[in-house]
Amino acid sequence: MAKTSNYVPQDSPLDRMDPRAKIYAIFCLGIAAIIFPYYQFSYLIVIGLFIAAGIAKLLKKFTKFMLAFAIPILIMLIFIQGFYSPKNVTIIADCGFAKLGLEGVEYALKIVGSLLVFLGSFYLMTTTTYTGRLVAALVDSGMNMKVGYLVLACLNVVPQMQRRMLIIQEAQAARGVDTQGTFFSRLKAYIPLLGPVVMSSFTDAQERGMTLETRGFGVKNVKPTTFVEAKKRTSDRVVQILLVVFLVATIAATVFLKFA
Amino acid sequence: MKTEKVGFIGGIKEQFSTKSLVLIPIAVGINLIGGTLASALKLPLFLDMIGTIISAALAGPWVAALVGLLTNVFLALVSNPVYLPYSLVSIGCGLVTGYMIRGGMFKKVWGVVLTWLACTLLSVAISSTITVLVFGGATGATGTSVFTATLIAATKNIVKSVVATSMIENLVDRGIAFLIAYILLKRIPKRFMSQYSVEANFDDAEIDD
Repeated sequence: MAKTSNYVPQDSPLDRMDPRAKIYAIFCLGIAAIIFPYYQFSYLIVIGLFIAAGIAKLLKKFTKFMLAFAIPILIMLIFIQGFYSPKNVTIIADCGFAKLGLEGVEYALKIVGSLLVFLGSFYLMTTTTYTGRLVAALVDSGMNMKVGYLVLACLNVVPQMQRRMLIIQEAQAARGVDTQGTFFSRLKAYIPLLGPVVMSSFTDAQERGMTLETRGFGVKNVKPTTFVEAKKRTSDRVVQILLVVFLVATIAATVFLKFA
Repeated sequence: MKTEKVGFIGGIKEQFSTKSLVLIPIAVGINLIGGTLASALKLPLFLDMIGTIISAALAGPWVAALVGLLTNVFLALVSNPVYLPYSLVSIGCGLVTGYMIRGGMFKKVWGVVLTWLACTLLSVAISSTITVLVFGGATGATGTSVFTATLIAATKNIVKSVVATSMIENLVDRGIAFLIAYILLKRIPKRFMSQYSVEANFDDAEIDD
């Protein structure tokens, strides 16, 4: 079966939290990590994210994701920025072919830190939120229903198309389409494989359009009901307020450090 | 044309009929399937733009832009959030391709080539800006990042190396994507094409089956 979502159903406080509060968390924490002048700060937030992952019972999965992202990009950026950044003044090591500068390394650490905060909190959101609930929450806060449909439809259509793709791949292999060999022979196999999927999907699109219309999708001036409910609890509001306070405090601290 | 009388915003709204709306998930699907198929055939390309080009030709630039955005959102949700900032590239490509097809560029082969070049230049500009400003030069240990690092070691210039890498990468990738999308578009039955807002952009004489 094709994978359509990172969501891991689990009973945890983070799972029960309203999706909107989690979106607040991504932005408040991410922006705080970017604007604060010291890179160490973003790593403190990352530690906080690890604690949150522990509460959500996803520590192992989260750690795996974070390390798989952080280690390669950290090595690449320290190489690129550390050796070749034009800002380098203080030299901390000489590797023969180039000199490692302190400013570049700090810049690399700062970027990776901010990225880890953004990506980590985004990943935590997707693993703890059922996509249907996320869309319901967004529609509830005023997002267009059609956009909501689009996101959910993509999640449905893609695995379906992947299944069709596999069938066509086998059928074409039975006909003898060559999928091995040189670059060009593999490229030539691409069209007979993709073409039928595209064409049959168009017929599918036509049917979907008609089905939606017969169920009154385009009806105007009526408030539609949703199957998945999204309600904000008091604790979600408290979390949101705390996040905004955190962001404002970080901004204040940044301004204070810059001018004092 | 009818769309010009209803104004710019009205013209955009007109593109989003229910028919175009159901086309969007399918086009996102084509983008993603194109990408998986490319890696299944071990082609060193992304080829994740074919659906965007097809939707630009069928339903217009803004639908194509939305297809591009949703493709990247989907990739960010399912595989890796790194794809999220690059949605700007997909949106820009969808718009450029859509407006150039509106201008009748897909009627002749040289028009397709022109669209391809315009789209490549735009994606190089946007994606290099994102790679340098958001990620500081590399997005991980992929083949292209290693290539960028090698170039940086040789030229000692971060921006130039990123642009050069993305230029080579995009030129080949977009070229093949446009070629495949063009071949596929030629084969879509006319009966199906006629229901979308963009009028027939193709010469009937060239359709061979």
